[in-house]
Amino acid sequence: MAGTQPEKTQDSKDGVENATSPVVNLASGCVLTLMGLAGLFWLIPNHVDASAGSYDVSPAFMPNLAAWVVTLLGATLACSAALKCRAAHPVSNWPALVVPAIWGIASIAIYLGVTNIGFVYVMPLVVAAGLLLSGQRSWPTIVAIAVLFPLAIDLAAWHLFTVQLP
Amino acid sequence: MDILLHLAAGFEAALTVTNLLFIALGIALGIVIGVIPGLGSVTAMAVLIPLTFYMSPLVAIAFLVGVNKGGTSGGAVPSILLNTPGTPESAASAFDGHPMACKGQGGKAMKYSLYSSVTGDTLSDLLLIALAAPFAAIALQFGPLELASVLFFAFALLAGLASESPLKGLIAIFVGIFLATIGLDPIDSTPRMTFGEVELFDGFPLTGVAIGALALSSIFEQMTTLHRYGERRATASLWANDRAANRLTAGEFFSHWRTIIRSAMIGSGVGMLPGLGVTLAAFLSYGAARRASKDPSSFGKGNPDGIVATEAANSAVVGSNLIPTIAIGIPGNIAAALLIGAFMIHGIVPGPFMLTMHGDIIYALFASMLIANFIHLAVGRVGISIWAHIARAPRSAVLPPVIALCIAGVYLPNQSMFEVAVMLGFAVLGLLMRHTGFSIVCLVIGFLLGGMFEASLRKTLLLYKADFSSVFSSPISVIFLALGLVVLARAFRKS
Repeated sequence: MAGTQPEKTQDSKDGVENATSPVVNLASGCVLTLMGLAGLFWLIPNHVDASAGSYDVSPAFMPNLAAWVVTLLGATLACSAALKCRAAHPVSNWPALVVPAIWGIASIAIYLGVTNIGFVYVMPLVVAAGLLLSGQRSWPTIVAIAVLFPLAIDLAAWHLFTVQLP
Repeated sequence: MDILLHLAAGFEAALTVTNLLFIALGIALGIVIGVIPGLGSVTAMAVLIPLTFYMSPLVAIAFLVGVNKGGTSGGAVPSILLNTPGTPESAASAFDGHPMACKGQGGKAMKYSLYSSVTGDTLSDLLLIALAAPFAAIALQFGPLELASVLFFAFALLAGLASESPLKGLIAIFVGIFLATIGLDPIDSTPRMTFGEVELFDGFPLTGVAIGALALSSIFEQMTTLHRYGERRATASLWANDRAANRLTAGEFFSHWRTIIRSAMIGSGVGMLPGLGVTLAAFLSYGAARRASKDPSSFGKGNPDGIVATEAANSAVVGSNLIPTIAIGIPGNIAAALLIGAFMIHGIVPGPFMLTMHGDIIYALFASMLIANFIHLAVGRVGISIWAHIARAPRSAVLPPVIALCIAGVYLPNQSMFEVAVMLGFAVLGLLMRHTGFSIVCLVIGFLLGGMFEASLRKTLLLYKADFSSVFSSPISVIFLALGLVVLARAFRKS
């Protein structure tokens, strides 16, 4: 295409993305295979009633089918990535996985904070931290957005929907 | 003739003050959210779905359709003014829109974008109205075997197109299907993988899954990117005070009629096929316009045909992706998948029976969509200079408050912190998938269609007593299974 090169956008991240490192693919394949096996041999047998009704196939049919497919495709992914690793000794992009881990911890903290302390007290801290992380350095902007926005949501939830946020 | 009578009744139901106000509000909100780089119509719909719980089904769906229309066209504003596409589908608008803006014709480029968007959308809506009923009539001939085969085809198409590799696409789809099986069994109501938790009896809530995986994970990702690389800001003066330079007459706009019609047809065709995205329609149409042009070298340097082709095609997808949604209950893309969720929340089951059981609402929705195009034109025209200011708002100030909005939006309908936990969990899963190259779209569509796939497969096994040769008794089934296998084989060979 002629013209300027567009910035990488949302869809390119949730859809067609740059090729992932074979090391990450190998790890993903192994984790998926293990999760599939855990589903097949522990989760489904213990937590799904496998007996079929007289007019139907077993309720465990679809979870089993999905788990088998994930296990087999996960193993295929791991094997193909392992072959690529042997052939090219690729560089791992492990630091990329640190980001989801940090957001995972942040999500747990947000959930616990909102549940135990309350939306209107925790969200200003979350929004302020988010603004700082995103590179916002204007303190009046940070304070205004972090305090007023959650407060406005809380008031709107109460006055429009008569729902008290936690 | 029947269609016209139904449509007249639809207009009667749709022309209420409440409906018109919510359509206008939906379009305005959609444009505002679409204008903010990185937040597209999908994010806008995902965040706003909880608000519709308090509306009637027609107003709710019309509002969301308005959001979708506004969000799709709003993305062109930052593309043109900042060379930063607000939505991926408007990325091609930047190729010619931004050079026009750099010449001081930002206003004219935005008018081209708005008018093309509304024209493409209207043509696609007319196609939807004409084809939905015949498609649904054909779909009524579908039994569980045919439906399972069509779903297999949709999954194959999606796995091949929406993911880095078809293998990863299939894995994401089947993880989605597996997650959809958690909860009470749809046929005999025995609990499956609920660990005795009552909140899991209904399975994972759709709003939590959709908002978490699609919207919140994107917010987390963009905040991380901003932290690493900072923000790109516009510096040039993009809007000349010269009124003549920014004027666009009807004659001048419609002189591009060939591009408008071609692009609307490309967008409608892409929208009708499940799994092909809006972005693909926009780029196919841009390429087609360039090939058809007498002066292809002018593309990328400020040729209005480039904007017209992109915007007419991406907006044409909005209407036509409802054709498979209404006819067979399979979403054309992720925005249609969210609409299916909204239909289900309001007690309307998408599929061939939708027109017979809820015909009044569906024709009122068609009428609302046509009315929405005129409202879109008015709101967009009035707001052109306002949207330009919003496009200049720094993302660093806009993204973090959306986290608070997502939490409140998911909590409000059922006052359940479980749904908030599900949303946060799926946001982290979505982020992990983005970083490991798995498609979130495949996961969400697998989750959404998993129940339907399971029901049709189980009914097929029951009806034909697990005799696999029965597949060959249905030509429709054979065709879709063969197409699915061909699509998968091609995708694997290409990857």
